[in-house]
Amino acid sequence: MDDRTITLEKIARSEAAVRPDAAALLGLWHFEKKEYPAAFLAFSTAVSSQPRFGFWAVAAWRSEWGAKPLPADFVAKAPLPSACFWAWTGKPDEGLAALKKAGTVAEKIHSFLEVYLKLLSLPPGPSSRPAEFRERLEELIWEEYGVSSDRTRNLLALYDAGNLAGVLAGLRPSLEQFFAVPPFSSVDYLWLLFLSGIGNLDFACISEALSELEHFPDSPGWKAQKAAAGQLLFYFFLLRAGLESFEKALKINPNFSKAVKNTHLVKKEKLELVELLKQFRVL
Amino acid sequence: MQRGARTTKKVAEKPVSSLVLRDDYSFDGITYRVETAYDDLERSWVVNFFQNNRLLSARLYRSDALGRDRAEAERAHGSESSVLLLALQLRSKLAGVKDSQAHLKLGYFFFVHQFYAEAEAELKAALAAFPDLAEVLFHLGSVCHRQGKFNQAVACFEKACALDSRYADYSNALGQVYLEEGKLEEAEKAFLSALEINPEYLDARLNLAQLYLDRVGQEGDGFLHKAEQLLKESFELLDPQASFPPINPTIHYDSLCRIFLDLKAKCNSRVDKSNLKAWCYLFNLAFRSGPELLSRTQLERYIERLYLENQFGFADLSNFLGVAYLFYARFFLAAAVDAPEGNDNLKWIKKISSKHAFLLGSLET
Repeated sequence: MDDRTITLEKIARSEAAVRPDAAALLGLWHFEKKEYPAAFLAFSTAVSSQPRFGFWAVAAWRSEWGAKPLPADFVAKAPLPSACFWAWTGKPDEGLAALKKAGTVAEKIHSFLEVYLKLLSLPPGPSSRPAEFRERLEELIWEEYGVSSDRTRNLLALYDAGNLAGVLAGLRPSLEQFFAVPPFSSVDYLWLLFLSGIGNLDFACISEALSELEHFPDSPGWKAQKAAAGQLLFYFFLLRAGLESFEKALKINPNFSKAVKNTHLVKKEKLELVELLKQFRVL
Repeated sequence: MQRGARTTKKVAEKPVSSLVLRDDYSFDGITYRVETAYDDLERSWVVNFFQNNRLLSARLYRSDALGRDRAEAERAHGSESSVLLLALQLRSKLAGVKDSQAHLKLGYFFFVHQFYAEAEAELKAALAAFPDLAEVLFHLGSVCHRQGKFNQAVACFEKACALDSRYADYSNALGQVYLEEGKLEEAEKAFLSALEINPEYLDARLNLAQLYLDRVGQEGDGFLHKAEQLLKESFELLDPQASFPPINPTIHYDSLCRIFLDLKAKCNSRVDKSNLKAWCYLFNLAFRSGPELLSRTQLERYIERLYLENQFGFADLSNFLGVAYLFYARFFLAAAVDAPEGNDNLKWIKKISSKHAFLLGSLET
């Protein structure tokens, strides 16, 4: 077992693991290691801070247990991801019930699921389709694939022809996107060290983690967010190094008034600065 | 096996001293049987190391020759840490032996290697044998100074000055403790005394100039002119042929600081830690010009240098390094602003930046 794994296991057993942001990061780590039950539990802990983590929990769940129904307590606290899960399993009634619990959330996923689940619930054939539903579907397809793309025209033609299964198959990749779990990067690992205060955070390892980001495929904003987190880790490291230097000056000369003042000042401000740093969302 | 006192069987054939140190001593996985005849101590490789002034001075000045000297010493003595290890063993063997010279050398050795507690104990043992030896008091004072024991350091230096008034070093050292303590009048008196003993003592003159430069902000232009006069005298001492650099009256103080730094840099072969101090003052000068004007590269350079020198244990260097780290940190906050919008991340970064700006504004350089 390498040092990184030992440290992460230590963090997973520590009090820090109950922090939603730390739990989400630990979830990513478990997911990457294909430890899906542990990933599900970690993401479930994190779901209170961001509903997005609920989708990752569902991704972990279905990787381990497939279409097996989600636990009731999870459905209660993450109705939107649960609705997505039911959409994926092809159960519109359960999905629409979960979506109802989610309330009117002004999120893209909500309107997508509404249309997708409705499509699932409709009996095949052109006769039974409500007229206003086509407009909503059209709007959704436009948003997903553009107004005049071949794919848009094809999907609408399928719908008009009563081939609902074909439309659902066409929308399936968009549904899958919600379950996409990002990779666990070295920046995430170092952010966990920062959140938990466990392990060694030094300048070289932060530089290395930022260089590693280049090897990941880019997704909108992902790299920029990780890079910003890396810069904040550098900031934290320097803040700590500054304080250590003042303390060293004091150790050499306890009466050195400049060092006394600087140590006191940084000690006082550091607490608040670290709390503010922890508000940054690395995920 | 190395040369010197690492004798094995042959030691018995030599005139054996009253005390023979025998030790099994391991280094790099190899165990050596070391027998050191105490009377042969002066020829032993440990003491040989003490006498290797080039290495010691290289360590103090961090000259370019450091690497070469160290390599040479390692060839001769195994390695630096092995010598330190043996010195620690010798220390226990020397306990109870009344040899003030051995204790003094061992004490100085520990002092250079920043083993201050050991150095203090050895020097005190030397002092017990010769309580009126000014040299021992001077070294003990230096050890106490490094440990932050200011009262003891002052007592040692004062006694050394009283016992032997021939050495300006003692008064200069006393002045430096007072200067660091912020007791400026006492420091001034001590530096003046050092200059009275030796008017050509450049380090004391520069320390006095530094004291006046430090007081400029608080007590007006009188000190500025005193500092200028001292710098002119120092300049002449260093190079009587050269003309004093021109001073820009609108940045009088900064011009003097620059000259002070140049002088410190030029005389680093005469005074220990002067080059370290010079870096402090260069940094100070840069900060007085406005720390926000320092580029990232400049700060990196300062930090690198200060970090390297910081091992010598100077309180002001550590303080400067701390300030430099915190000023450097703001560049990373600025870089973090590239974070994508959403999640309130930018809001948090802006809050941190404003708090950090307040912190920087309150630091003491």
